[in-house]
Amino acid sequence: MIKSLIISLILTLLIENALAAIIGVRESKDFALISLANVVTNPILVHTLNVIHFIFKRTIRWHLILPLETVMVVAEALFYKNRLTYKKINPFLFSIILNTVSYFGGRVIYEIATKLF
Amino acid sequence: MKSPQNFFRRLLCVPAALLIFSAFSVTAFADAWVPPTDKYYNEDVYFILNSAEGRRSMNLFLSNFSEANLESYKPSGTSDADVLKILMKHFELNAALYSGVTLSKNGSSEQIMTITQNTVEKAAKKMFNRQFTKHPIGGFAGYRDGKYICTANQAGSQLKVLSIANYIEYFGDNKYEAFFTVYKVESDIDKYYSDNASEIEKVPGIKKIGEGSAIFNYVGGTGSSAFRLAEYSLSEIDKTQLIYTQPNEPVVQVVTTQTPQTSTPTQETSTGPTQTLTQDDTTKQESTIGDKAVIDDEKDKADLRKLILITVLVVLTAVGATGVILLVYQKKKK
Repeated sequence: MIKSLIISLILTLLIENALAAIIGVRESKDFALISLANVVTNPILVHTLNVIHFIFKRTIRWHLILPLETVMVVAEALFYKNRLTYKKINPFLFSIILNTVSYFGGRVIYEIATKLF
Repeated sequence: MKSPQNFFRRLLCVPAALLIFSAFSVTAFADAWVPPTDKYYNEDVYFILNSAEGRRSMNLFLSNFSEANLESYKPSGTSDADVLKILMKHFELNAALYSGVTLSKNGSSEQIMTITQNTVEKAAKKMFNRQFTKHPIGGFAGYRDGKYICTANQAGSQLKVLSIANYIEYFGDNKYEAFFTVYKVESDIDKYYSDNASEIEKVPGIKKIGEGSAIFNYVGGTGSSAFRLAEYSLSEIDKTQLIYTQPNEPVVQVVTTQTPQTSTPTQETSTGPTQTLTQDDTTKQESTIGDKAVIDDEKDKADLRKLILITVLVVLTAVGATGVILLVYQKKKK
């Protein structure tokens, strides 16, 4: 359980920071903010899914992930609003892009990892 | 005053956001789900309905119960006698598949079925994951010399009840749940076992008679014997459409006038000596089952403790990180 939390957080931090750099974020404090925002949201999301799986013993499907991801996107956007020095993209759109890419990036990495190991 | 360039940029943001979100939800709808991290989880079983061969295994497994008129099964709530009743109906309808089952006729042309104790034990284990150790089961009156003898007047009838799995869920701890529909088929049932729900609905003359779900464990291997039933329940069933409803009455005295029918065993060929368990063996087996239940209970408690501990850790991390963001970044803004 703790392993899934750590792996997921590390992957998210790597993907989102790399993507932020590609988008044009240059300030180190912006990278720190993106990392901190993910430290807040990612473990909550993953752990909530783990708790739901533990209690209801069901596989987690899209209709559960989607609203939870949406809440996390909004939460991160609120952290970015007025705090990011990077102003080229609206913080909500910025959050949507980062989270969408990290979600699917994580899925691709997971699929590759499970095929390889 | 906002520049027109900024206005257009903002205007573009909305469709862009919508596009990303709809792409996200459409892809998610198609396949996005988190595979269980459980060590027992088997992807081949979870997606078994994707192949014709897999559907055949699962539908055969489920049909074994529906054709025998099983309405509900819970390991703790179903008596051994009730399980025996279902097994007998199963043997009656599938007698040719078991070498330990013989059919004969008595004077009044009534069909009699003799099942070895070994066959009953093996089928109980295979189908229900149930260990029969004491015989006769439920004080069955037709038990003699390690054999169960009962009437089987519907033996040799054409099979007409079919269960088709619609989808499968995973519960964790090697527990899968199959949701299925029960159909009544008039002929050639064998060719429909590989069908899925949408295919079977198109076949004329096939009638839906019920719906239900079955929780099962995967024990390895292929075919319908790779699964063990853990729970079973029919949410609805049209009882007027049930076919094999004649009970298998115990036969206390057999007047055999005909030699046993020869069968072609394909599923179970072991005809070794019947298993006789001593009181010691029985006690050992019972205590092993009891120990396993205690271990499972302890494991659940340990998992719960771990879950609570991780929840506390996650909350503390989130609160800490939020605090840092609010304090550090708020100050810089000022």
